[in-house]
Amino acid sequence: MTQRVFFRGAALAASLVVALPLVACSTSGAGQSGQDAGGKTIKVLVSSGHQQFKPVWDKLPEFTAQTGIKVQLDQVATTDIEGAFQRDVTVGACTYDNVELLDGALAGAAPKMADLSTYLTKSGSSAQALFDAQVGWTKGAMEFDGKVAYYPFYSGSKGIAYREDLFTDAKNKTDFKAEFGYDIPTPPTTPAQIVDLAKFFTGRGTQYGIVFSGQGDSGETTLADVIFRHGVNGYQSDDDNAMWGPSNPANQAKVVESATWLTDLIKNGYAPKSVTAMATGEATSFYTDGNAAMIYDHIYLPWAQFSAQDVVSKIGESGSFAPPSFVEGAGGITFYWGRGIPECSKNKDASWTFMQWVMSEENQKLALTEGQGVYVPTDKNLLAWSVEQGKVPQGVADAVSTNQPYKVTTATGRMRQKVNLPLVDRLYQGNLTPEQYAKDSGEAIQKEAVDSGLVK
Amino acid sequence: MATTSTTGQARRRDRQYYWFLVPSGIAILLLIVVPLGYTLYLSLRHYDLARGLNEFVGLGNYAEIFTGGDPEFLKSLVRTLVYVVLVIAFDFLLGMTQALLLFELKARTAKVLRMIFMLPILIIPTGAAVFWRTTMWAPPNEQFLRTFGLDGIIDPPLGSPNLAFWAILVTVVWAWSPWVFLLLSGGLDNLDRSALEASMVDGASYWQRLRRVILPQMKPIIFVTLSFKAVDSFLSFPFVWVMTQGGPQNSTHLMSTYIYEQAFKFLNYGFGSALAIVMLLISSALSIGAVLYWQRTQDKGAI
Repeated sequence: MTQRVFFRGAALAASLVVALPLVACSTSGAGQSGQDAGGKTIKVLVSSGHQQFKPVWDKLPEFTAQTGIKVQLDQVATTDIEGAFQRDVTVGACTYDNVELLDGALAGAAPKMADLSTYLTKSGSSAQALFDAQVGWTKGAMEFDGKVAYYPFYSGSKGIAYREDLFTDAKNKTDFKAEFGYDIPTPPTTPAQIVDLAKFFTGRGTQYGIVFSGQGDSGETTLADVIFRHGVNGYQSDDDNAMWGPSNPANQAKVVESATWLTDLIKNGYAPKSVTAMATGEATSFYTDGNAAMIYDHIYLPWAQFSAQDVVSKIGESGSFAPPSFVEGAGGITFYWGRGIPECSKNKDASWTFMQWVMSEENQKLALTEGQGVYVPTDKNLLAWSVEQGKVPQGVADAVSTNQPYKVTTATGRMRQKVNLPLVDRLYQGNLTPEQYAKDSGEAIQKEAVDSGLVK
Repeated sequence: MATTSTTGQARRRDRQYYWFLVPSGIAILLLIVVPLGYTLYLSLRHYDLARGLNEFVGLGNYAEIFTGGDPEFLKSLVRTLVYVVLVIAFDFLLGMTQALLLFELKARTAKVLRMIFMLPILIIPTGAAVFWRTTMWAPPNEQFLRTFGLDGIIDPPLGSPNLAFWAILVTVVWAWSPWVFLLLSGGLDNLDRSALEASMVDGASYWQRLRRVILPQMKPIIFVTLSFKAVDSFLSFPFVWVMTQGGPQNSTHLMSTYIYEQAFKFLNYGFGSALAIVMLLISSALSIGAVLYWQRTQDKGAI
């Protein structure tokens, strides 16, 4: 090999290093945005955490065979999905034709979404028919400025699971009635009854009456659930001001009541002080180890675990109920996902066909029965069916059905996680009184609303 | 004349060899220069995807950082520096003690102990973090506290803003000190035995040998190991993120986790990028400082 040939070879190799990635990019770009030999190819952004849908994704070749539409799934972590979508549309790439987004991301992405009512009408349905089939709050959560930006498909709510062996024990029943003057309620219908139950079961067959997660995000949502159930429905009022901030002083007292109710469970020894170190996983272990009579948490997530043989042999069967509200008509905090079609997508019709397929009753049932983990559908019939099948706890289904829509804006995520969360930590740890918490968090949330440019 | 011609030929030949740098140059350009340049570009913008903002603010993000507009970042910076110092100190103490112990033991015993000491590094960091969180620190297991009879006496550490940082530190030292042990142990195995034996013949005590013979010979390997650990600790991420996500009350945020949270959780890419650039400058200063110190002491023959 001469030196010249060698150098030419090196130059060629260098060119390939540059060219190959570009070719790869242009190839995938063509596939994402337009046609290929087999028909349309759509790119779908989903959460890698939604393993419940794996059996549905396994059926994608059937979908392609029926429709000629190829689906390229992009599975990213739940925490990254909003960023992945927003980056994609902000830089003008618009590679996604269908995306699923979590509640906190819906408002920010809504202006970039197509109005699904057009497609619903084309399919012989309507927005009204869609929301009639769904639990009540979905219309308020999925519509933005009169536009149906998302198709609701996955929800969750805090619920309370309890040990049936303790609740049905004859001696416990007699003693409870003697102490409180009424039968052990299943389900309890007032928050005061929850406190009575927690007090009664503390040290009676178990160490504590109740456990809840008091750390991080799940700790913040525990308090939020109680606040919402006091009728303070959300973090922001209709005019975007903090719901219990300086512009809405009337709500402060309700937040104080909420914080007092929850922290008193710890203060009085009905819940362990160590909830400050428990997220849902630890609270669940605490309950399944037999240390508490009730757990107030995202109980739909470990629901299958509660009926596992080893757990049942230790603590017996678990029942569930929705946390009772403090104010009639109020509901708790809801967690939800929506599925949308970006306005800039070049394959909106194909994307709609895909959405209809994935949201079909058949595929949702497949996810519920064959998928890994829990999936709480927002479709009323499917929700009832999933309870019958033992997939979703009754308490969570009841909570999801009665919760109310609350305002979610581009600032809600930061209000919760950046502003409110550290203050809730301090409340649980006893470093803030309920009054201080209500005042400080109200002011801090208001500041975030101002910083976000939502209010002046 | 002939010399000039030879030099010219050599230069031309050298120039031809520059082509060999092209592939690596392109790789550096694509993988380092472009992302870094883009991060710098973003840091000059108010690029906030959650709020839908994308506007040029010049040095506004940097001004906010250095004028204390974000006190949490300054706290995380100080915490990171304390963390680096403590991790280095504890890793060195533990790793060196283990290495010295093995150095004195019979080969077979040392072999068995070496395997035991190295076990933690066989676990991936996120796995180790999950294990320590669920089994050792958090209720209901709290095995660490139970082992020392502290359960019920002190609060679960990961829920306490006063203890969570220390709980993470214990976990990190457990997980990473075996690397330090491994490197120091390798260094001890390569010591000049003749100097050691001579000191023993001279009747030097163990501490005298350690201070006068072993540690001076070990200086280069100690320096390299701890420099590496300093940079590695400065960039530490998984333990904090998995165990506390920076909580409770932001008491465990390191710079890396804080920047990640700003950029990827709150989608404030502009400010997050500015923080990342500041962090890059600090870690670069540390690295360059270490290299320069190394070169200087090498030249003087001090190390």
